[in-house]
Amino acid sequence: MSVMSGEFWFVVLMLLIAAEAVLIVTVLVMHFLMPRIVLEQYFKPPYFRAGECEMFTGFPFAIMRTVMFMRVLGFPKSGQKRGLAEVYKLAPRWYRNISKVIVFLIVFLLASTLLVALGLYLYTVIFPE
Amino acid sequence: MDTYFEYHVKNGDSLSAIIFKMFGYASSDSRYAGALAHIMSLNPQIKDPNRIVAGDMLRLGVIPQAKRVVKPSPIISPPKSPAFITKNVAREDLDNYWALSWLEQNANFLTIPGGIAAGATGNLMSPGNISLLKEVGDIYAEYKNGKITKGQYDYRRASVLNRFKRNVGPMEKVLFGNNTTHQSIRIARGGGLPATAHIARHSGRLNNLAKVSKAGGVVLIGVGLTASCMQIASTASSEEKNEIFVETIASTTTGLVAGLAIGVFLVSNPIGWGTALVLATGSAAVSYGMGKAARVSYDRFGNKVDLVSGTGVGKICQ
Repeated sequence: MSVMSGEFWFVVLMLLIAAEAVLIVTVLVMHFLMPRIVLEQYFKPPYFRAGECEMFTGFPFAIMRTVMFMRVLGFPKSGQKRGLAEVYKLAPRWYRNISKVIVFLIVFLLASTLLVALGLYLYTVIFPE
Repeated sequence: MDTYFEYHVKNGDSLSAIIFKMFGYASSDSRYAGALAHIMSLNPQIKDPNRIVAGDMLRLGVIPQAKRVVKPSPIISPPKSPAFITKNVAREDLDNYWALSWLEQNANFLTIPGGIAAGATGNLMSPGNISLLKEVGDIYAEYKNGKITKGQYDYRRASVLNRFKRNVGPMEKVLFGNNTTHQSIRIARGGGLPATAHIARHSGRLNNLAKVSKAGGVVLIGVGLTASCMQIASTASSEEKNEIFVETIASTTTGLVAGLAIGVFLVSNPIGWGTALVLATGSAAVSYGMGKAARVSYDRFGNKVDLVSGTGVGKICQ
């Protein structure tokens, strides 16, 4: 299968979508593995507003809270604005490393899935069978 | 004249196995019969399709595709009963089946505007905006504790409320009835109420609205997935089943990942009604467009693969 063929890029698109599904499941797993001490010490004012604490408690938005903390754990500098730059010290190294990969993957997979889908769609429209 | 190539029948081959191997059509596929008829027409020496012998030479050619007639679809399809509910339906259950049938065929008209409305309300009622209201109570507490003067209190209260008013824009009338933000978010004086009673009441109400919109989003995802499962069940063509499956999976997963990305952005940014609507419409459009692009791509490049059977979805959505 040539790299230039539509079949190849369709397979790439399907793999990206499958990776997105795996990513969502992985984020769910990380949600349950989030160190409790991180939430106890930092998921409260003044780091988060009271309204934010209410909003990001319970399904499904608690998952977003996990992603936010994963970003702060993987990339400590991103937490400077909220005063969360030291949170990473409370999480084990493996959790920080996985967090870094997952946050990168969220951005990478979303962007690349949209790009590949758009490319395939435009190709199909511009060069109909 | 048809172009063809020659195929040597091997031990254990049957016509159905050859059709699956060479063209990817299983015997349950709607295109299988066309492929078999075409092979029979190229090989008139075969009298019985169930009896081919190892070592025989078969002529195989490109299967002529029946042109798919694309009918313009009406904006809202009139409910027509899908195949899976036409048999043995009790008379008293017909109404329910028609409702299910309508849902199956028109789920998009429910889930897309519903998704935009739920998303826009959820974005607008983000913690960033609701906390602006609570800030009024905090400013009042500072004033009563003597930390700020009356002038400072008035100025800070007005600027916070103006910011909220600007953010909610025309939604103000919906959120507070016929009152303005400044009239609704006020300090309670007299009546035995705590000073921040009105603020707490409105913040609580808006928080509840945010929760309803959160739940609404989850319900709509469920409705969309159920409708897709019903469509897969009621569609006879394997190709169409796969198109529905690819479209559903692509739009759902990408929509969820886009939701995660928007959530990370929203947490520290109180946004206005325009941005809320743009984000909601944008994520719904990305999700919908992703599904359509994946469907078109499958139709063009991936239709040899039977994902519905391969993933076991065919068994679930029967």
